Amino acid sequence: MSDTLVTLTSQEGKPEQVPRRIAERSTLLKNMLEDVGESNQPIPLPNVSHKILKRVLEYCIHHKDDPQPPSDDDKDSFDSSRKRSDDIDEWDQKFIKGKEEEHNEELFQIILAANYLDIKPLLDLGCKTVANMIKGKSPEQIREMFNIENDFTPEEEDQIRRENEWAADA
Amino acid sequence: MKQPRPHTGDRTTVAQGNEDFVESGALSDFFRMLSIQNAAYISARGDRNAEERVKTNATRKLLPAIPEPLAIPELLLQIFRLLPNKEVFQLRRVCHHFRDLAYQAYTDRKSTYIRISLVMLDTRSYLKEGEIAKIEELMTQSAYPNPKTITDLPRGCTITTAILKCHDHLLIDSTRLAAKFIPLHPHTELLKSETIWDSSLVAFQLHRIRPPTDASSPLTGTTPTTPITPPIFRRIASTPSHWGTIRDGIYGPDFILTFSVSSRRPLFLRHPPTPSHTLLHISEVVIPYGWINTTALGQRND
Repeated sequence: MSDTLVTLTSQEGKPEQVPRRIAERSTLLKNMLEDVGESNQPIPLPNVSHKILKRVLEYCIHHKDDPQPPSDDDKDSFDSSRKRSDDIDEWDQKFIKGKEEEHNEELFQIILAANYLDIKPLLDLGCKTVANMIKGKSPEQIREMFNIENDFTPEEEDQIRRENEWAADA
Repeated sequence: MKQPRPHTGDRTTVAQGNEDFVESGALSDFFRMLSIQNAAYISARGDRNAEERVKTNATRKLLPAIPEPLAIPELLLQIFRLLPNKEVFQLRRVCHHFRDLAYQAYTDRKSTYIRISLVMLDTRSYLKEGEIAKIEELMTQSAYPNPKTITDLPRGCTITTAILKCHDHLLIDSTRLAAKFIPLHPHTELLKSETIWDSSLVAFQLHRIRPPTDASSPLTGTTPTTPITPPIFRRIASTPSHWGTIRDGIYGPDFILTFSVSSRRPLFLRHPPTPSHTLLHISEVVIPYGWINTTALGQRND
C-alpha cells in the first residue's frame, strides 16, 4: 500500500505524483489517506504553490527514512531542555538556504506549507532558521529584516525600555 | 455544479454509509473541504496546535504589516522558544505582536526563574545570620546571571533579591515558595498556601500572621495606635510604572496576601490598607514584568 502513488494538486492546479510513503511525511495527508482509504482522486492543496510543493516534497524525499517525530501528545510540551537552533545538519542548511535573492520569501512559504501540511521536522527547520536570523539583532534590525512596522507609541517604547532595565543590568 | 463521476477506487475501504457520497463523485470536494478545514479536522483528532491554525486567517487580517508566518502566534512562539530568555525579552521592543508572544514564551518554559524581592523594613534586624546565608545560598544556586548578596544592596535600600528556580509546570509552586521563605520570618505562620493557575492568574495566600512576642525584636509587640506606613509603601508609590497596582485582600481575621497581576505589570504580595505592627515583616514578592501572561487577570480581584 505504501508504494501506491498519490496525486497532490498545488494552488495552481498542477498535479504532483508522489509515493504514498513520501506523502505520509505530512501528518495532514497521512490522516486524510488513512480515513479515506484507497483512492486515486487527487488531493488539492490550495494553500501551497507548485514551487513550494516541489520544495517540500524534495525535503520529504530526502528524509523519507527518518523516524516519525513524536506526536504532540507524546511529548512534554514544557520540556525543560530548550530546543537548540544551531543543530541543523548540512543538507538541511543547504536546502533551507535556497536562492539567496528570494531567501526570506521562500523560507516563509516553506514554513507556512510545513505548518499547513503538518510536517513537524520541516517546520522545526524553518523556525530554527528564523531564530538564527533573529539572534543577536536589535529590534530595529529585526523590523528592517522582516519589514515589520513599529506600532508602539513613544510612551509605550519608553515604558518597555524601563521595564527591560532589570534584564539589561544582569 | 460537478457532474457525478464513476467511482474508480476500492469500494471495500469506504464505510457503507458513505457509498452514496463517494458514488456521487464528490470525493474530491470532500478532500477540498478537508484541506481547507484542516485545522478543525486535525483538532478532532486531538492535535493541540490545530486551534492556532484555525486562527491563521483572522491573524492575517489583523497583522498586515508582519510577514505571514511571524504573524501566526503558534509559529512565532515556536521561534521564540528557540531563543535565550534575554533575547526574547529584548524582542518585546519590536512590536505589539512580538511583545505579547514574548510573554507567552516565558510562561511556557518549564524552568522558569522567578526573581523574588524580599522587602522588609530592616532586613538585618529580621534575619538571623543563618537565614541571611540561606537567602544568599538561594541566590548563588540560581542560574540567574547576576546573583546578588544582601551586602550588595544599594545604600539605603532594604530589598534583597533572590532567584528561585521552579521546576513545576506551574509558574509558582507557592507551597515550596512559602516553605523556603516564610520560615525566615520568626513571627509568621503559614496556615494555607494556595496557587491558582488560571492561564495567568496566580494567587498566593498567607493567613494569620502572629504578633511578635520577642521584646528584642524591632517590633515591640504593642499595637500602634496610628497606622504605620512603612517605607515600602512610599517606594511603591514613588515608582508606579515599575510596581504596578496594589490590590487588597483582607478576609475577616485572617490576613491574606494575594499575588495579583494587573495587566502586564509586576506581580507582588501586597499589604492590607490598614497595616498594623504585625504586618511590618511581611515579605514582598516581586516577579518582574514579562514573566507572567496576564491575559486572564482581573477575574479574581477586580
